[in-house]
Amino acid sequence: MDERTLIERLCRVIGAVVGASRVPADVGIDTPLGDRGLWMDSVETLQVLLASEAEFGITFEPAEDLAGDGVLTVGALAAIIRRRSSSLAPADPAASPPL
Amino acid sequence: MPSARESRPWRPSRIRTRWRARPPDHSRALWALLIVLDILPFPWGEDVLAGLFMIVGLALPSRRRSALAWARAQGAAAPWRLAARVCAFLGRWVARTRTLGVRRPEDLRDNLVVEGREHLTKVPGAAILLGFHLGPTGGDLTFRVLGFPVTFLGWRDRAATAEWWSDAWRPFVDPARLSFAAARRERWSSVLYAARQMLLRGEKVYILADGDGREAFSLPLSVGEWPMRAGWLTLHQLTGAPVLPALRRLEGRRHVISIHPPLPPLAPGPERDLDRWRDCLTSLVEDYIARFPEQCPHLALILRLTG
Repeated sequence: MDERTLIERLCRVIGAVVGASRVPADVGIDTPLGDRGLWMDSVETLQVLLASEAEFGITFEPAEDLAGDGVLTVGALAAIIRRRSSSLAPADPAASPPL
Repeated sequence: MPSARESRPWRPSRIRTRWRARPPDHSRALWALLIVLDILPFPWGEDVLAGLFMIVGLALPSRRRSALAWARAQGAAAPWRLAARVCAFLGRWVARTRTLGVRRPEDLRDNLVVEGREHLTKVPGAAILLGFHLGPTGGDLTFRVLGFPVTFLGWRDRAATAEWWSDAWRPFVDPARLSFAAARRERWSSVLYAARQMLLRGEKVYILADGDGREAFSLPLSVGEWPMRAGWLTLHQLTGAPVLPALRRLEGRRHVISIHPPLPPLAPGPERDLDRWRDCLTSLVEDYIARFPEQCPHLALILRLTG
């Protein structure tokens, strides 16, 4: 999945949580999730994290993914999702029964 | 790791270490005072700080006005006396935050009393202990010292003042094991995410109802509206963990933690159910204010809820 597709899917997830009208068309990797960006509060950000897990089939690891300053921008969240998705990828073929 | 000898609060090296490591929670003058008063044995430092806060509170016009308005709103027969006591309690609150003069966890434990412990032990798995900015602080530390496996979710962590604590306290202020603090507003969603996972694993957390974040609803107290935040409510809605109000107060030197039965489960029609929770919490807080009006400096002096 390329960067642009990932950001678009993530924006759809965010729009589903906070309402599409709060997600402008020019959202980019540097757009803050909170103040001076999408203006999401902590509960909305939590809901976006949970919706992202469902959308991308991942589970965040708080100690690794959400430590430090937390998830500050759309790009930071996309990077975590990409890392988690790729870490799951090798396990999937082995876990799936042969067709 | 400093030796026990070096941990003694009156040693110059320890005083210098504490001074250099002080976080910006208090003014330089108050930190200096705290460091000096911690040399005294409990409860002398706390009593001195309470007296100083009382004098300063009554001397500062804005704080005096708030304290007197609070006292009059409580219908106090002697408003000046209650105003003085609520100002003094703010000093005790600060002293308890830093466990002033309390050298060992055992000394704190000896002055702790838990009422309604059975309500917590009846809950076999996950639970949300719901605190308030009422009474003495240190809900996190007191649960740890008592051995309750409760994770503190808050704004600031004891680890932020790690150098304040002597070796005897270190196991109880280690953030990796029993606390998860945001420190910055941007991190609060991460704290809530981690808390959700803890609750889904069947663990217990302690969180303030009136902390930070979006307002969920407010309590219509006789002195004014008190906003309750959405974090704990969201955690309940996401996990189904029961919510047990846990109020704290001082009775003389004793720190009493009063754990109440779980709030009634939310059923379909959440708006009506939230009204039940609002009524229940309002009743608890109103009762607390009526019984311990001097132990509400957050309402009286900071939020200035005076009807």
